[in-house]
Amino acid sequence: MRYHELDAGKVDCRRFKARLDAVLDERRRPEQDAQLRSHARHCPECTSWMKSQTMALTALESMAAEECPADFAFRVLQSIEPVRRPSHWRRWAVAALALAAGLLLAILGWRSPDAAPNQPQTPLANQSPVVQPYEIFARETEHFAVNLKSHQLVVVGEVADGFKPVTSSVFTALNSLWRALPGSESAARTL
Amino acid sequence: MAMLALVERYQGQVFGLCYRMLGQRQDAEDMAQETFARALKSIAQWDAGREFLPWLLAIAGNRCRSHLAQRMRRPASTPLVEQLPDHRPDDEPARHLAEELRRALARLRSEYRQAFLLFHQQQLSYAEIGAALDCPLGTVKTWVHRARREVIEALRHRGVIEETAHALPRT
Repeated sequence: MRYHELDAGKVDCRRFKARLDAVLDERRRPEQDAQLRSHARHCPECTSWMKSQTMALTALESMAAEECPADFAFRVLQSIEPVRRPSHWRRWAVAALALAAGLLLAILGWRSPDAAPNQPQTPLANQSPVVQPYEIFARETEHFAVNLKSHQLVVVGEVADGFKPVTSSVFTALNSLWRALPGSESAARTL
Repeated sequence: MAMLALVERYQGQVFGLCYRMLGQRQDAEDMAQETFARALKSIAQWDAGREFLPWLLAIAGNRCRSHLAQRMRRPASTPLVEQLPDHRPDDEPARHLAEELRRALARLRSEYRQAFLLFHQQQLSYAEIGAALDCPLGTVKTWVHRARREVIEALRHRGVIEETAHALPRT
């Protein structure tokens, strides 16, 4: 064998390895590639190299990859649940609803025929054996307004009984609005 | 339900990447979980014109690199690379080959090993591996090619290939 023939053989072997890499990169089987087969037919060294690659990669495939735990997806969702916060538009919507509800109650309370100005006030529970939900709400808001040390509201309530439901309702609405405002800590707790 | 489906669809690739980068199951689970939490929180930043998986793997790769940096600052209490699971056929030549393969993989440079296993075992594309490991596609290709050659040379050097070729049935 002459010198230039040996050199040509080396070039072919280098090309063979580059071709083998390209075939494996495309996840194809080397023994099915015509160019590789053509060179391998005359080159025992490259045939051995190709078989080695195939054998090692087959062995690697039989070593199955680690798998996720079965409940992994649920754990991911659980982990993000506590940090989910209501969006801004939702907070504003709640605030607007709270305000609207407060104003509605105020108007109803102001125009209610039951709220006679000179009639002595009795506890709601004594007026009727069955306590209606709105009565409970009214009692709670009144109690809330008094306990929040809002002296002015109490004074207004004493001056005009008809004002009392108005003030307490507005106060409740404002309080709800404040709690629902974005950035408020109580908002995060409430929502 | 949509979030659950999304996590279930990609959990294999994300966990596989984390496990290959960190080498420990518990750490890999933690980082994979953190990856999904971050991805779901910042899903608005994902460009819908691009593929989702490379974006997700890039987050996972970043999390793993941060974790590895933290780990480097702490004294190591556990080995860095756990044993690969043993799912091989129950015959001696195959077991021997797998054992030698494991040994050859352990001797590779870590970036070669990661790229090689992500490509051949996790079946990720070069682009996905590049996104995850934060390096150009050409570099990933070079790492995988070098890993292949070094693994084969190590196996041939120890005479494993010839032994196994004779012992295994021809296909």
